[in-house]
Amino acid sequence: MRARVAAVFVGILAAVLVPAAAASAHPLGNFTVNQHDALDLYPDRIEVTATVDLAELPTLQEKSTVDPTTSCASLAGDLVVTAGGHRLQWTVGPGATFELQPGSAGLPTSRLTCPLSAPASLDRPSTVDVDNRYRSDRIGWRELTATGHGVRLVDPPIPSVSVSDNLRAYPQDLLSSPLDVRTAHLVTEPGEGGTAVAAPPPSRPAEPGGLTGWSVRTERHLQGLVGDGHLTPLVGMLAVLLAIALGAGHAALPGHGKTVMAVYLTGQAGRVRDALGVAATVTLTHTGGVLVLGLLLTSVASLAGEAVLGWLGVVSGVTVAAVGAGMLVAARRRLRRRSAADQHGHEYDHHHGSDHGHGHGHDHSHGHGQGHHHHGHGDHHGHSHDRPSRLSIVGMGVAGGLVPSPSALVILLGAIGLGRTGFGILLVLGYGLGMAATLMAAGLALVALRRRWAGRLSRAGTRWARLSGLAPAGTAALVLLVGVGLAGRALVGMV
Amino acid sequence: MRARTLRRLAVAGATALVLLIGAGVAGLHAAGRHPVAAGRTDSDKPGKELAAAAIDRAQRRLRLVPGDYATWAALGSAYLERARVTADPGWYPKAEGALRRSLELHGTDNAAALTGLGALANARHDFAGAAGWARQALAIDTYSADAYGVLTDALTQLGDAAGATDAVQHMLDLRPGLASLTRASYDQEQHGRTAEAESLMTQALRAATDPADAAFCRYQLGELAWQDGRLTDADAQYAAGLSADPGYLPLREGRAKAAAAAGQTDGALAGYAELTRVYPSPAYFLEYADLLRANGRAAEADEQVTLAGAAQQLFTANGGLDDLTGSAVALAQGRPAEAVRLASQEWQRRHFADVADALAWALHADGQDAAALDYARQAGALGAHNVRYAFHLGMIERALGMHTGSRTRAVAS
Repeated sequence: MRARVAAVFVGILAAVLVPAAAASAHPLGNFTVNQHDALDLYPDRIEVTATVDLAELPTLQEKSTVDPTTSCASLAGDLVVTAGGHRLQWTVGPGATFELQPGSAGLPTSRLTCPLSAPASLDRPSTVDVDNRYRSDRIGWRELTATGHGVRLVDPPIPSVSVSDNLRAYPQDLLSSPLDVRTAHLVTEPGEGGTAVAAPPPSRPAEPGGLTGWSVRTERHLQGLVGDGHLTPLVGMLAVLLAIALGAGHAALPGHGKTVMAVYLTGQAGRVRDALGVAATVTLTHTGGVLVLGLLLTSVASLAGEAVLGWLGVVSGVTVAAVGAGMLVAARRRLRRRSAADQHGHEYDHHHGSDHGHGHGHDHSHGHGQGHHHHGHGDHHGHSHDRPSRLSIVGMGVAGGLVPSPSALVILLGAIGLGRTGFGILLVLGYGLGMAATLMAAGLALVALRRRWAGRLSRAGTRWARLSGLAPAGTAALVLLVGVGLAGRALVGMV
Repeated sequence: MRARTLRRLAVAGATALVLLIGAGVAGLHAAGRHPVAAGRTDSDKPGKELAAAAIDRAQRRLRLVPGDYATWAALGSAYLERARVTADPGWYPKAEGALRRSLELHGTDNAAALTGLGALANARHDFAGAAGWARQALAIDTYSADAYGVLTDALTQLGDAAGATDAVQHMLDLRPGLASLTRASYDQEQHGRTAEAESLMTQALRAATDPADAAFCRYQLGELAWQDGRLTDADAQYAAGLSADPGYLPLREGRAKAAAAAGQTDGALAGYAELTRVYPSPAYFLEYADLLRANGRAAEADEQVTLAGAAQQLFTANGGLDDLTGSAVALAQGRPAEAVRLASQEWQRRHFADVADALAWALHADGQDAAALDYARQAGALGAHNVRYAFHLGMIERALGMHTGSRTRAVAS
């Protein structure tokens, strides 16, 4: 009792002696009751360090009634934790403390710390449910953290490290609301090194496919340049060059139109012009897409950028799938036509085109027919049946460029927000140019590679000829699969 | 050859545009889904969650587009709304930060940020400042109903009754709805036209879709009945409000004071104990103290007065300026001279009826009844039916040995 009176006295004295501290209000308001429960999970028990930070008025209101032991007992009664369906019965440890600290207007704030412990069987897979009902009607910060010791937490919904440094430093960011986490559902299993991963701070949407460290650094640098107060022509030039480099790097990442284009061009008898066409369409679609989306996002306040990106991903996947389906139909038609031609040409091949039993017969005759065919056409690729149609080239390009790169979008939106719309558009154009360069290079390399190998191999024997004959149908199926996969991934990401 | 390439590019561009617009519409739909769904089921969703959704959306957008001044202004106003709904002034600094950021990013013709700063000034009792912000906003956007709302509130509190009536009429013309109807009702109340005020507030209640708004209207209807002496009606309104939104705290004060008036002392004391625990404002501490003292529990009453003093001290230390409440606290602490000083200070700032009444009552407590009578009459000058004004006037007249109708009313109340 005497110790507490002394503590009050010291608190008030400190408040008087330290005017700087006294001048600052409690960061969360003068009548908040702020709480943090830090859970430590062991195979045989759960320990909780419960901290309550009372602002000036609650401190004053409860000064006469606060006794750490009884306060902790009432806190323990309202901290409902069940492990494996059994409600835990807390024991308040010996280290319960209540201390006063100087607050504003010469009034103290206070801090109650309660060590709690209860036996629990976490030496087998289990679940732990936390529900903090202590003073649920008071305004204030509510935080939960959990750490495993010999217990592994599976996908913990709460972090292991307090973002407020255990109620000592509340984040003052204008874009974050005070935490109000009262419940948590934890899945545990026995295991070592079991610390929960700190929840990532909410930030801009994640880059699909992931970025290399280089590209992340460059992106940050470019964003810095966009926001630079003194935008000299030299800095502007540098920014455009960086944008081109970023675009080139972006196109080189997996999970883009490039992969699809590679499959497509190797499967179909693509020419240089087709590679250029796809690359140009990708660039055009991407640049236009970023610009239109940027315009939409700045003019329509209720538009959620993540949702739009998600839907564009679905549309892109469906487009690829549609192109694949179209290719499959075309391949089958061509195949049928060709087998009919073969039957006329080679009378000894006794396949009388019965409607049933297509599969086997066609595969065989197809292989032979295509082999001859290909041999004959080895050098002039202009045969109308083998070339990809204009529609599918455009479709491929649109699908590849439709999902705008989030980094280009961020740069554009940043530039618009800073009133440098023109500069932002220039950077996005640079981005598109970089992408086009990479894609063209990749496409040209593929075409060159394909020509060389196709020529050499077809001369080498009938095996390649047979494989190559199967290619259009296989490619079409692959493109269709990739398309469905892309659409599915985008849909799952949105839910 | 070139024509074909051009045609191809044109086809690609058109396709991309159509797909983008399609995805944009889909995204818009996805983004809109949340608040629309929440709005439809608002009977089970408290207003706090609606406000939280709006805040969350704005925060996510600003992380992506830090230069978007319009969303900064909207976020500031959403923080302010959050402070109002939760009665937590801890949101004020965040609101101010967001609004000032908006103004920094876009200093010219940013009416939304100016209006938000005006609303913040009103919330902090800086009514002259609020009127200034509102006028700046109106100079940019003559058709801003929100700015007229801020101006109405500020002029009402500054005692410029004619200006307030004019501003609220503009607001009603621009956007007849909840916000303008409640203000028009308050304006009528100030002029003693209780029936008109009740009719307007009932219209506002019908326009309220958010439970927090419905609770606000119910509280105001309860207050109108209370000022008119219809205690049962008042209590019924408070109760109806609480069933709409149990989180709207002034309704608990209404129920507690109605219980006290009906002689249910235990219920009233329990109500005040609960209310001051959840929302420790000086005014509630003082009402609780009065009730405790009236029931012979002087020591506990003193404790509540101490708390009222601390709460007022904190409000001042945080940059608040409210000598009206300061005067009431000083009076409760038995320092009538200080109460007179504070009330006169507030009167120099604004000639509002509440201030006149507080000054009159402080002067009466200080034994200056002759001076008090003048202010007590000014409090009722606009014609407002207010039991407290009437009681104070009656007590002052009695002290001066006058026999008038006011005295009977005082005795009745």
